[in-house]
Amino acid sequence: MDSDCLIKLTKAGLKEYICQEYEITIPAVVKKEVVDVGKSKGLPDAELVEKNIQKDILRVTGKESLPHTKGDQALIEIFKRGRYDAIATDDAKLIRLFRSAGIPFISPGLLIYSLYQKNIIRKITALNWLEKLSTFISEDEYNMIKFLLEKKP
Amino acid sequence: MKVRSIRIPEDIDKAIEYVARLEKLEKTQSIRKLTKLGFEFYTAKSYEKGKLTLREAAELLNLTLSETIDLLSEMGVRGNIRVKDVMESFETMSS
Repeated sequence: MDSDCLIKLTKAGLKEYICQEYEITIPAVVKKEVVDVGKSKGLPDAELVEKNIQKDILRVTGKESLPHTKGDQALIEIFKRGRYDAIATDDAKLIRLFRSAGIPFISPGLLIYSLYQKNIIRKITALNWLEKLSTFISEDEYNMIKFLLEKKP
Repeated sequence: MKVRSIRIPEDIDKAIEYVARLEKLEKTQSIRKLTKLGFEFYTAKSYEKGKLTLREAAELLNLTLSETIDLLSEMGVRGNIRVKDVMESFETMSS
């Protein structure tokens, strides 16, 4: 999972729920961006993510990444080395990068829809979670996920 | 701080004076404030159009990723994913 997706889910108060249902891994550089940098500025999301890492709800990988490797590149490197289904991101430019590298991606809104599709959560819960996330996702994403949720019986 | 000498069009000069008067600032402070706001807006729009990643926007604004998300949100930029991106992801997920 990329930093943007992780921070947005944290701010929306959905990270715990999502992390319980999916096996989520973040590159060490993402941990550094979100936890280490965030903690130095006293940001509450940083503490929350750190607690999840300590409890092993979130796994950190790629500690051996070179120090100059940026988050974007670390995500691609780790995806190619491991057995992952997709990279969770909410960033259009990164999506273009993943598309050209043939890497599947999933948006935070679709993470919610997927839980509903697998009957893990009810429609009302999914819609409620989507509302919580709505402050942080594009109108296109919000409308599309809402449409998919309402379409499925 | 660096010193720059620039020519300012009359309408921009009026804007600088307006902000200085309204916020009880020196003209130089008003220029700095408007330049900063302008750059934040420019960066937010570039992110919205998908020209910048969140990471790049944060680096340009000298903010953390979390602070950048908050700033973008304040400026009405909630994300930049388009319908086709969601559909592509949805199709991959369903296959």
